[in-house]
This record gives sequence, structure tokens and C-alpha cells, in this order.
Amino acid sequence: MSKAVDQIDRLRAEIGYCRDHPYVTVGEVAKRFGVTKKQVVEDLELGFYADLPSRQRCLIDLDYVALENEGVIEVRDVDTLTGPAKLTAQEAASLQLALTLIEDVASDKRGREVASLKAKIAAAARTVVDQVVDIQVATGDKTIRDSLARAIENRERVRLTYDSATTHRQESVAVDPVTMTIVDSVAYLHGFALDRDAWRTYTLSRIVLVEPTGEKAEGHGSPDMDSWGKALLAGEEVVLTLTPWAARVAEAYQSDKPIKRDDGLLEMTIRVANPDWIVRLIARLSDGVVASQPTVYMERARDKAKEALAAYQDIG
Amino acid sequence: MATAQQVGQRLLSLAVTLMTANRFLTREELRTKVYGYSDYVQGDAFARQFARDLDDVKAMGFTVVSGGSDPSSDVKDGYRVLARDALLPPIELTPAEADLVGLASTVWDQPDIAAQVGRAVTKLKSLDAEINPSALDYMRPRLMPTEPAFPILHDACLGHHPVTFSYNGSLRSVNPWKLLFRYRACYLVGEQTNGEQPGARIFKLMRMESLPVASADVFSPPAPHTVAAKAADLEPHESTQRGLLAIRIGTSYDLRSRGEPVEGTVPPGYDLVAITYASEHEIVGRVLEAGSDVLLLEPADLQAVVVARLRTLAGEEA
Repeated sequence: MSKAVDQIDRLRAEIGYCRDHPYVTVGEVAKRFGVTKKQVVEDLELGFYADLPSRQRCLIDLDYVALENEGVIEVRDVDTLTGPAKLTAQEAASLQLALTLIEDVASDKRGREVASLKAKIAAAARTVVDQVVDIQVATGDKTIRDSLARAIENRERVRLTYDSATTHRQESVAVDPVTMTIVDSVAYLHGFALDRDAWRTYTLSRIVLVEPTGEKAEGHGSPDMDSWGKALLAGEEVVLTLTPWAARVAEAYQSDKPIKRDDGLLEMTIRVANPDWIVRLIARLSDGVVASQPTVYMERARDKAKEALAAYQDIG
Repeated sequence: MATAQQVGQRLLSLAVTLMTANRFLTREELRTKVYGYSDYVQGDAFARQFARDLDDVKAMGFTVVSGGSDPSSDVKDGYRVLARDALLPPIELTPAEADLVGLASTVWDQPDIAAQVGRAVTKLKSLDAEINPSALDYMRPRLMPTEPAFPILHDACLGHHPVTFSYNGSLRSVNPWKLLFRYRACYLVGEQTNGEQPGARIFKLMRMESLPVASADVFSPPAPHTVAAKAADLEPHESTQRGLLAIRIGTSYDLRSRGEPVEGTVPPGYDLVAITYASEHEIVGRVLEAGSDVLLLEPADLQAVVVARLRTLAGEEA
């Protein structure tokens, strides 16, 4: 799609706004639409100077003197084309899907607002909007999600009980919850853990209990979401040499296309933030993993297997 | 080369000309009426430019219809724009809904689709409500489909355009129905129309060996229950098989929560837990990854599988 379409879409929306807000300033319009003042003037000039067929010499009649001298916009005569365009099917579908994802982390009350908004968006497209993407988000239990959403909205401290992905034990911690994040199909809670005196991130589906403490949450600043997001996508590069079936299981975690070797094995690169996780993955794939680089992870998985074999021997 | 402002003027001129016409106008008539087309002579270059411009007019939300410029002829050689549904209908957003629109504008982390949401939000900004992307900053949903096929398939699904791509070493012709995010992966469900066994199929985007190419043809979409029936193939099967696990006390709550504690003989420091499972492959994997924290006691044949795989991993003779 050309940049000109974006500009015309914006121009039509800007004119609709100016028509309803006489004598609005260029600065106000620029702020509202998130563009520079220069861009607003260029947009308006496009409408003013557009050389249209016979009857309509231009799209809008603009008080150009007021615009140039005082930065005030006065749209005097608006043609039928002006005013924002209806939403296209693509625009409405993309917006609806974003709202569906928001619904997954919203409280019940906020969820009802999302449902109402989705109905209005569908009407704004003036057509049936196909929902061509379907997302199943691992948000865990709905009552837990709702308790967390309410605690965040009301700035309340909670006590979480959760299955630790690191220790694989159930742990309990007092948290001032701040943000819920969904990345693709996994939901996370970010909060300040009082016992650790640090920001922590919890996978929502691992939280088994949320209890109100009756205390108000304190201000701790904001978690560094950018660093967290980068850490999620970054981490140490580990290369696993896998049999074809194991490669199919592990492909959800790969960071690059696997390299197929002449002997039929595949070399798959995986970014690892938690070393314990990659050891568990190797153990899960067991005879499907031929080697790891660095080798330490394969060695740790081997030790883990030996411990398990000893335990099986003990039970006969 | 036309400047951006000249391209904008040309598109506006084309849209208004098509909208105010009281009959279907031919491409040649439009060449003489529309600003900027006078530079073109009749021919292929103009035909290509006109086709691109018509696509842009459609992208601006206009419904372009074709019909005959001569009412006495059946030849559809002309174009018009239906003006009646071109504008955003009046919408009243509550402040809470406007906050949600602001948040929705930050969800997509895929440039093509984020741009579509951005255009929608620009249109909604003409309304009175204040749209603020950071008003609900305690919620941060993100969609980051990294597969390059995603935006192509998204548009093809919406427009019901068939696609072709290479998959598992062969070229597939597919009517794309829906994209599914499941378990950290993205899938396409659709109907394969070529090959020896045409029919409903699921394709993992990550395994596509070439970028899909969409055709301009349009297929008839299936009934929603047909799509849902095929998409159900990705759902876990019903757990009907029974197993017995020894779970070390204080560990592996995710497996523990799938079962019930039962009485019986277990090694010291372990609980006995009865579970049901659907897939032997899945339960064996879960037991293996837990190491000595979880021992599979029954069924015995599955325990033999676990022990054999542990021996291979440990480097012992099976």
C-alpha cells in the first residue's frame, strides 16, 4: 500500500476532527494524530490543492491565511469524501484480534468493555468481519487472572503460590503486582517480590493461588520491560544435534532454521535464558539428542538420567 | 517520478471522479479526467499504474464496482465507487473503550499488521474520545508472529485467495481458511486442492519451505463448523489411559495437579499419584524431563520405555 493512502486516510480523519472542532490549532491536531505540525499542514494542503474534476476544485475550503499566520484551522466547506473512511476488513480484523488478546488478561469488568467495543468496531467496518486468526492463550485459571487484574487495578498487594519453573517446587511470595503481559500465546505477571526485594516475572499458568493480603501495594518504580522482552528473545545460544523426530518436538523453541547434516541429523540453535530448562528439554528428548554445544548441558542431562536410573533400581 | 503529494492528488482525484460519476467510466475516460493521468499515453504502463491506483482506492475503504459503460452492452468495461458506505459511521466510544483502542494499537509486533491497526486507530482518532496508548499500561499483550508467511496468509485468509507454497518437499495449492496460534506455534488450516489426497489439512508455518504466493482468484469459504472440526485436530485428545507415578514430595506440582493422591507402597520421600493421560509420548516426555523427581510405576510397559531411554541418555547399554 502506498504512503499516499496513509496520508489520505489521515487527512480525511483530520478533516473530520477539524469540522467538529472549529478553530482547533495545528499543534492540537498534530498531537492528537501523533504527527508533526509540518505533516498536518502538508496533509491539509493536499486537500486544499487537490485538483479535482469540474464541480469540486478542491477537497476542502480552508482559511489558508488563518492557517499560515495563526496556526488555526478553519475548514469551511467539506466535500462528501471528507470525514474518516470506514474501517477496511483487514483493519477491523487486526484490531478485533488485538482486543481478543486483551480480553484474555482483562478483569471481568474490563472484559465486558472489550466486548462492547468489539461490537462497535464490527459496525464501523460496515461488513461482516471474518476472524481469521484464533489464539489460545495459556493464561491459567480465570479466577486467578481476574484476581490479579483487580489487584493491579486497585494497587493491592497479594500473596502468590506458584509452581517454580526453576526449582519445580511450590513457592509462596508476597508480590506487588504491576503488569500482565502476553507474548504470543503465553501470559506473564510482572511484580515486585517483597521477599526478594526485586522485580520478578511469573508465568500465569504456573500460579496456583492468589490471596489478598489486605495491604496496599507500594511504589517501586517500573519493571524494566524492554530488558525483560529482550531477555525473553535473547539468552545463551545452545546448539543441539537431534534426530528428525526430536527436531520436530524442539522446533517450537528454535531461533534459526535447523541445519540438516549428511548423516540425517539436524543441528538446531535454541536461545536459552534458564539453563535448567535446556537440561530438562534434553532429558525429555533423551535418545533423540546426540550432542549439545556447550557440552555441559548434555553432561548435566546424563547425570540427571543416571540419578533417575538409580531411583528406578531402588524400587526394583 | 511523481512526488508523494502528486500521488496523493492523483488518488484523491481518481476516488472523487469515480464517486461522483453518474455512470460507469472506462479506463480511457478516466485517463482524460483524472489529475496526473494526462502524462500517460494509452498502453501497458498506464494500465499497470491504473490497476495499482484502483487497489489503493480500495485500500482507502471504497467499494469499487465494475459495469458496462454502455447500458446496451454486456461488456463490463467501466468503474464506479459506491459512495453510500464509504464513510466511518457515527460511533460513540466511552473513555474506557478509547483506552482499550489505545492499548490495542500496541499489541501487534508485526509491521504489516501493526500498520493496518495504526490506520484503523487514525480513523477512530477523528472521534471525540481521547485515545491514549499508555492509559492501560498494566496490560501488555503482544503478538509477535515471526514467520514471514504470516502477513501473506493473513490477507489471503481474509480475501479468500488460494495460495501455493512448498511443504515437505512438494508444492501445495491450498485454500487458506484460518491461522491458529497453539502452544507457541502458528498453524494454517485450509483445504489442499492438489496432490493425490486433496482435503482439509493443517500446516505449521515454521515448516513452510517457501513463501506462500496468493492468487487473485477467490474461493468460497467453508462453513465455520468445517474449519472448527479440522482445527480440533490440534486439541489434546481425551485422557483415557491410567498411570501411577511416584512424585518426590514438594516437587512437580504441574504433574501432581493432573492426578489424585492414592494409598500404596512408594519409596521414602515420594507420594503416590494416579493420573490419566491421552498420549504415551507426552507422559513419557514429562516423566523423563523430571528426572528422579517423578518415577513412572505403571503401566509396566511404559516404565520399560522410560528406563530404556534413560539408559541411552546415560550412555549405558540398553
